[in-house]
Amino acid sequence: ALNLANQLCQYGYFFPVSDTKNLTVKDDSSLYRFQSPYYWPWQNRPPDNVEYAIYLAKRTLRNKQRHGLEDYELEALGNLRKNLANKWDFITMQAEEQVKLAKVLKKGDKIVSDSQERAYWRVHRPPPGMVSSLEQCPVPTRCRNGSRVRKRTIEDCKREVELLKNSLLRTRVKVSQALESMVQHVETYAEYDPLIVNTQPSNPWVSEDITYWQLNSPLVEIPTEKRVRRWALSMEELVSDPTGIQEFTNYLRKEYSHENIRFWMAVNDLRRSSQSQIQRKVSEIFEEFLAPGAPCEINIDGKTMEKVHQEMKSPSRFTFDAAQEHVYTLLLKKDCYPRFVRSEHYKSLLAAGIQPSQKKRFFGFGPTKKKASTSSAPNPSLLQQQAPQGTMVSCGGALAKRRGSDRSLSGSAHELAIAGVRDTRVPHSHSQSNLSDIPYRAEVNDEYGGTDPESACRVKKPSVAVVASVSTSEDVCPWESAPEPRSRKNSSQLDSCSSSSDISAAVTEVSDRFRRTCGITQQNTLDGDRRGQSSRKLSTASFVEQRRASVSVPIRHTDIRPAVSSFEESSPAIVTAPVSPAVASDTDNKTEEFTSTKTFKKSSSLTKTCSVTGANAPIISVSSVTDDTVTDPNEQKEEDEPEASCSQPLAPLAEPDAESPGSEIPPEPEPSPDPEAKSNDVCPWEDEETCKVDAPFVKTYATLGYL
Amino acid sequence: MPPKADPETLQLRKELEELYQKLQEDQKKVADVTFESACSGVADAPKMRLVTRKLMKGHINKVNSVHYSGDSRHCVSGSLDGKLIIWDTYTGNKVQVIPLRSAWVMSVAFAPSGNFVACGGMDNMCTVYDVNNRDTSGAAKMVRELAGYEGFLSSCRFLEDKKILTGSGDMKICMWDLESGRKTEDFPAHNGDVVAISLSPDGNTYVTGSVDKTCRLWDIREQSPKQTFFGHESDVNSVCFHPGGQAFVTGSEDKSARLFDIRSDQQVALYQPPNKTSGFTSCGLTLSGRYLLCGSDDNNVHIWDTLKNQHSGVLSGHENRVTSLTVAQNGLAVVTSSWDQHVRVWG
Repeated sequence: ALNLANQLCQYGYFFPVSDTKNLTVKDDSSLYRFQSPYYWPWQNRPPDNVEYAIYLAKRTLRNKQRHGLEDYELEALGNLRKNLANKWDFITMQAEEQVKLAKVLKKGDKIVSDSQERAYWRVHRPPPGMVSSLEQCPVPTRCRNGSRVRKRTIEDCKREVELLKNSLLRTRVKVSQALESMVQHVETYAEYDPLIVNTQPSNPWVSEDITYWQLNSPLVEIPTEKRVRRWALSMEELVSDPTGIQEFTNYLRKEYSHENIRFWMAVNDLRRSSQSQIQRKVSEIFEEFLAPGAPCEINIDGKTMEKVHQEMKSPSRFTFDAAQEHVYTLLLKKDCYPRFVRSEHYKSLLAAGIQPSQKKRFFGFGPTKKKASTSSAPNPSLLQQQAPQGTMVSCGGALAKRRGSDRSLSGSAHELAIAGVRDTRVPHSHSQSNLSDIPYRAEVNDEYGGTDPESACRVKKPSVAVVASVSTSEDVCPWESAPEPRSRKNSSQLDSCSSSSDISAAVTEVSDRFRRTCGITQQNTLDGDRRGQSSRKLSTASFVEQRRASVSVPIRHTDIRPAVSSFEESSPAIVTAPVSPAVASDTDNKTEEFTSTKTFKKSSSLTKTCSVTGANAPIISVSSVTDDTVTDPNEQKEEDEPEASCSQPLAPLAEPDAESPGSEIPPEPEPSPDPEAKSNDVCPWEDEETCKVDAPFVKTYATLGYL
Repeated sequence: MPPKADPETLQLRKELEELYQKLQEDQKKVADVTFESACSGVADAPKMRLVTRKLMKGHINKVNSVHYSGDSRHCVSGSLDGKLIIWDTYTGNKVQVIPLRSAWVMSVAFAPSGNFVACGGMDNMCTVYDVNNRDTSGAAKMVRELAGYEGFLSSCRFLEDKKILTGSGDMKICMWDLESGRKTEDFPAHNGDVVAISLSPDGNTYVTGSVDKTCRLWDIREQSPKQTFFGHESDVNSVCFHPGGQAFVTGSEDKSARLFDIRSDQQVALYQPPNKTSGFTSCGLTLSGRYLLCGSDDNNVHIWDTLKNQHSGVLSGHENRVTSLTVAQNGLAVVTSSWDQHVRVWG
């Protein structure tokens, strides 16, 4: 009965007296009134715009409070006034007259007719978002097409004839060939078809394990072996995978022939850019790649060049198609691609590829990447993480789960973007050998891992403290959840340490401490990198002292007592570290500069830190910095410069180490703000997600509740 | 057919017939082997065991269309209850609910980037929503309303974030530039409603299916079809490109699914369920192209081994006609929508 009543109500046969907003019948004692038969829908009077305009105009003429218009009605009124401009005088006249007439009526009658009218329009002009039950199903309109079809038959037929004639001329491939290639395709890809072959590491739906998503996100530092193998199938496979393009570019850069792939990507970008930018982009591309004497002149034949010149007269999205085609098929596909597939680079990628079928879990996610990018020392942690990680998941509980659903994808994308940028920055050989070594090194014991950074920074006797703290701090699985409040605190630390990289030495200690205090968290990720750098920088005792002085200020500001204290603890340990050669001291000077600027900035912008920290709550450490950059583009810029300057001297330092036998690649300084900026570009969506960081859980639930 | 055809039309019709004959002969000429013999050497494919991984409830009316995002994880479904729902297929949660102006949704599309969703239907409009921005009421922000169709919108697909391709009941294909909100191309495509669009893996061509029983292959830059494919005896309800890019499959009202090869320009295989009782509304291929999945009027999803041409089972679970089917880009899962108001994830 209620349903029936509801239906009737929706169709406008009767309406609630008290509630003018909703057209539902509730099972309580509220009053309903029958609509006057004049307004019943079966009268089939199509609602007239003029009438509606009169009605709305009438309401504007009357008491604001009771007859005020809703937003959507105001909008409708505005539109109507525009559309019915010629009749508008008439409409206002009518409205005035009706208002006058209404005044004569008794009050009771007035209310009744008012409400009737209102309910009528409520049915026929529903507010947006509400479904009108009176909206006619437009299916019958199809029959109208009949006549139109007939009218066009002749020209249709002509077109058809033309078409068929054309298709007669077409050369056809023999079915046998076609089928053969299809069979081949199917067979080749069968092993990549998750519905045929079991997915590795496990089907996320079965195991409730999100590793799969992480390993296969668009940009990863270390692609799975399967993925790398897939790149060898065809050029198309390679370029359809962002990680693939990246590796390919890296390889070509090493060969000093990456202008082709860059041109190809630029033209792809041009195709996707907005109309307004096309003119500019076309000329940019031309200047960079095609003009005689261009900085990255690509090598295309005269015919194609001519075509391009012709097309240049009317720039469009497809101006460079011919050239792109040429570059793609002749240069990239026939030349570079086969070389890439045969190259050592590819082989080492293949060797380094993660094989998720192993029971060991290598995370192609946050820490793995970061660590790989900075130093090899954290690797042992990969092994160690496995055990604690399990517990973390459970104690992270609901939080982890939520994250899994909402952010795991986006998070990885962030990380990935960063990793990607790093790759492009770092001289390739480094990351390369680094990558290849990782899985194996990981199996070696902690100490071995520990020696790597040693050799990297040429500290012959590494402070055991550092190594120890590393291994312990890495125990915790950083990207797994942390209780919200704690992680907030952490992130504030993070912030301070990410901005002034020198503190990081302390931070390792801190993280150690955190672990003891049941601590958790992401911070470790950052520690991971930073530690690498810092251990290298731990050169002179005096320097450490200075650093401490400068650093402690911001720390106090950001309200992290434990950090300070532990820093104090750690500094003696660090002091014992032997002095490193001159190169390092050079670096130190730079970093020193950097630190001071940082400190200054920190203390001056306390509020900023706070806001950043707040935003930092999410787990992925990167996002914290991302937020940083988002909230403060200015600061980011400034950060950029010192970072860059400090990374410059570090790179040469790294170089010789790479050559030292058996040593891992030294940790590369990560130009952190930079990648973040990039990551903004790469995945705006994800970024936005993390921007809202604090809110998002609430938001998600809000929407869920709304359902 | 028109009751009285003038001589010109008749003549054209005759000519058409002849050309069609000739075409078929040509096709036969290149058909030097049968599908069966060509594929006889293929090893048996391992059995595919698909079960419902998630049953996603939330719509309160028939769900008409579903489409996966490029991230292989989120998908959007549109229902006659006037809502679009964006799902996280892994958790089965709703990520967003978008109320629509009109409830008559027939087609939805997710941009490969995951930033936009589009829908359209009998409101003769294509509406694009930005998933990342909210309007005042908290729903996803409407970015564009693309009007100007004379028939219902039957299919839409994003070429990329800024471009969308639509097929409509007025037999046309339109391409829109979302930035300016303007139609960039608009041309008559078929002799009947365009019902389905499928983009090729490389994104340079697409195939349309129509109620005129044909499928056509188009280049995105051209306004005339590159190829036309005949064979179906009734409306083509769905097309899906083969991941190899040289073939496509169709699901049709004539109770069959077919495999067409582009290079040899003809139908190479015909798939029929054991009891030919119901037409197909949708079709999809697994990542390797080995298995064909077709949503059917009989509430099931039929599966064939494409090469062996064997009916290898059904997915049953839906309680009403399966309306739409989409395979994740990474091939990990299949999502189907049905008139039973549910959306199911199979994996």
